[in-house]
Amino acid sequence: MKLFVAALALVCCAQGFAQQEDQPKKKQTPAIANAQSWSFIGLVGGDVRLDENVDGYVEAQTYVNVGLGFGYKSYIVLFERSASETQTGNATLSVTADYTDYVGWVYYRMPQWKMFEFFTGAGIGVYQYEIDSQVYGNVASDKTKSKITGGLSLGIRPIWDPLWLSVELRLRAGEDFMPNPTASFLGRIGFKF
Amino acid sequence: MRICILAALVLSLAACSKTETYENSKGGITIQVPVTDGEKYRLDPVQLLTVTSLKAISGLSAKFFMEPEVRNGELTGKDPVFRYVRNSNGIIIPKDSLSLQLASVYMHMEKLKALDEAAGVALVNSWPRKVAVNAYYSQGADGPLYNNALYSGQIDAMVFVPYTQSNLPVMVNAGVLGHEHFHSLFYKLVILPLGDKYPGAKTATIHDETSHLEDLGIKPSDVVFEGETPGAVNRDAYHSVLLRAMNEGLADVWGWVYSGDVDFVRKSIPQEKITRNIDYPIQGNISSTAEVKAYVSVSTQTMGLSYMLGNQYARAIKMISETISEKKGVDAKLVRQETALLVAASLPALKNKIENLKADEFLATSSLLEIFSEQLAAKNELTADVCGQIIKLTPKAEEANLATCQKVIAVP
Repeated sequence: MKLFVAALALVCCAQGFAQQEDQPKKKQTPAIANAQSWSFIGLVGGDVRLDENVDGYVEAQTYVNVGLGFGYKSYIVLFERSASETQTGNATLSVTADYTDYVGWVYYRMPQWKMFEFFTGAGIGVYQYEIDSQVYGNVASDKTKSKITGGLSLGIRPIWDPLWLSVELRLRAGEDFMPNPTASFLGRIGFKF
Repeated sequence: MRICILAALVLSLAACSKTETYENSKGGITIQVPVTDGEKYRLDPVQLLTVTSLKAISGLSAKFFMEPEVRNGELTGKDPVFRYVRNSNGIIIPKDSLSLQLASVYMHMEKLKALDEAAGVALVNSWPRKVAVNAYYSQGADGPLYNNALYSGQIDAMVFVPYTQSNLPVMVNAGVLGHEHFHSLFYKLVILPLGDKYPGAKTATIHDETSHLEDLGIKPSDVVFEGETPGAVNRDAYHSVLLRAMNEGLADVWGWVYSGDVDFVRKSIPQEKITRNIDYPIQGNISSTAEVKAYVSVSTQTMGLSYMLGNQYARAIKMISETISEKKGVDAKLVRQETALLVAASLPALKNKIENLKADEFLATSSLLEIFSEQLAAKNELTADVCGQIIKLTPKAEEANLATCQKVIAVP
């Protein structure tokens, strides 16, 4: 998995260098034809993270994702909140785990291909778990400290402005993530104008 | 380029994220698990001193096997992935119910090891204890077994089958853990030394240590002895019923000693047909040898009889322990510790008694009370009052077997 992270980071870096080298050409043929100077973006979506369960198998866990931000030329800055709640156990013994993170993402919009736009980005933020453990109705509530999380992303969307539809493959890192990093697929809908 | 810097930053974060796979056993870890005071369960932080791999919640006290199988007589399976976070005080909080149950079992195994030491049987078991989780256990036409736990002497492991009910999961039930752990002591101190002398040693049964697990898919059944003729008492069948009763009864005592809970089975398996509560005083006496012989001579379905007689033993021993504690004025916890010592000391004596039976001799149902009396006498705890109670619990026809108490009472 760590090799995969490195590979994705290399792709991101290569893209960054390529972009620098391409700059003289860009003056002749702009890479992003419809790039406006400023745009505002609001998105909601589902982030399906591939967590590891106790048996060691991958288990898809859906996180509700809301993002607000802006675009400037080839860059997009998004502030996101993702949250999920999982309850396991039975009426006598149960564990409810609430997860919330707040992450700032910076995306780079790559040159478009036909009607599609690829983008890649990285994010950093904080997350926290709140765990309610219950036995015979006695509940113990615990919170973790706010801990740092980060991620890398590669996405694609059709250019249907002001409608935003996108899918992203992400790798997320965090001390309590299992596995660490965790892969996820994020589908989003929203606006960009 | 800026994206590249960000990506590098994120990569560094992933690389630096602490992946905790080992914690020094010297300092121990603090983990929040369900604990009991004998009646109620609550969640408390508990210090575990022997965990060496937090990732697999394993260490010197227990090793878990997920998706367990028996191959070439050995238990195999995957390590669990223990899912947890640390709260703001650094206490480990399991993130899901199964992780919580694994932590609970680990904690109990660590404490049961301490109980073994206190009871003088520290060297009987090898550690870490093997624990099979969510095992598939076939009951033949009845399908797989659910909502139970068992001990297998063949693989020397505690086996948990999936728990599907809405009550206390078996893996959290302190009494059940104590009960199953006792079977390992009985197996190693009574059954294993007796070898083929143990009646029914070749017969597959559920919930006791004679199980012959074949890929955790054997068909458990009641004991059926070949060549049995109605009306005649098969000696092996009788002893199989009796020893299973002693094993189950003493295991229930051990469950109570460990948890302080007199009705622990009902907390997880309320539909258990035969009562396992050990807090009801016995009215009259335990079943006599003649009664058990009579039952065995007409029926091959003897599992229920074993559990019923086992419950009588458990209730009798608890009554005797409480009588002693009332006389001495000691608290309940100390009584339980002393009971553990007596029970543990009774096992080699029981083995010797069976070993020395003549070819046509039957072990009396009251023999366990006599063995218990001997252990009490050795500790100078056998008073006339206690003997009076033991005699009351003994069938009239078998009072002559209580040689130790007869001597105590005969003394003016």
